[in-house]
Amino acid sequence: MSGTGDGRDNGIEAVFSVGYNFVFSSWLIGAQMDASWNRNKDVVTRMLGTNTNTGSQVVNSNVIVPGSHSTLATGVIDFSLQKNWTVSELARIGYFVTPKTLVYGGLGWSVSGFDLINNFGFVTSTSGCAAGAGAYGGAAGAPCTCTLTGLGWTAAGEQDFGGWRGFLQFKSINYRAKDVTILGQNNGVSSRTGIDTFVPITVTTVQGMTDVRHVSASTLELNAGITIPLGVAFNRWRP
Amino acid sequence: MKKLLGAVAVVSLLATGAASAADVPAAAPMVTKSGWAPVNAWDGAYVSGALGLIRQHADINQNVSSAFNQTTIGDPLLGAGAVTTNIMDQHIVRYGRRAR
Repeated sequence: MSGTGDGRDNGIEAVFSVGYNFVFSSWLIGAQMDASWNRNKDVVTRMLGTNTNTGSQVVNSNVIVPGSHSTLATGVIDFSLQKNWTVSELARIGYFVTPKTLVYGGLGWSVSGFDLINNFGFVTSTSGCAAGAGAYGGAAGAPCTCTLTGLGWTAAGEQDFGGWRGFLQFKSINYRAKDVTILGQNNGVSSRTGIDTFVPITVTTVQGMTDVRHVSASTLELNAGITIPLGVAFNRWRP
Repeated sequence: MKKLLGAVAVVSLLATGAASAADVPAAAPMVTKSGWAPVNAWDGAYVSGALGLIRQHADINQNVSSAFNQTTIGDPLLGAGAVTTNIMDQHIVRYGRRAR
């Protein structure tokens, strides 16, 4: 009833931040909000694995001999998880190694938007969440969009260059797992009545499908950038 | 004598302070129009922009259950009044391990 698979993906992203610092002697505390997006949609983790499919069928009839049978099959799983954007709120604390050099760490919460894509698209459902991109002949459809939240932390160094600062930051986010549940579009009761080959016929169908996807993710980032203090900037622009 | 010297010193210090306050203009702002303040610019608001490399790991575990129950009254092959019930249950477990 289970299987494994693996893959990897790296990409490039742009990060913009705003924040506020308080300096106490050699220490700094502050709050920062990061926003990033995967501009080129190139951070797409493909998850390959196997699946197990079990089925059973029972036929009851007042005319033919009742019977039953079961099936067991294995197959391949092929999903992609594409990260689109992230917003993080971080509290940070730093220490001035020199008056112009700061090392700091941060801790906070992040929320990210993902597209979950079923590359097989074997299930028809009420939304695009289960419809794949048709890579293997499946029905084309929109990916399943969901958000994941998680704890994030950073470790970084920042250097003042006289009016602007440069920094190198390592950031990790461990997203909490989330269940994405899809219900089949034909769930419910349907009935058909008519004449078929001169015989009155009534067909009643009860159908139910539930597709639960347990999704989790984590990211590691290494960012390099520049910081512009707003006080300095405003003062410089002041006539 | 010591008291006298001490009093003179205090008066002298006070005079010096008064003279300084009167003669020296107010302290220049930490950040001036023509230049940057190297250290105290850490205090306050800021904006930043960065480009980075990102590596993403992901897990997925999919569980699909499907039930299909169909009752046919009057199957053309079996004749009018024939009742056939077809019950199917399908269970699919899909598991994808964290991609590294």
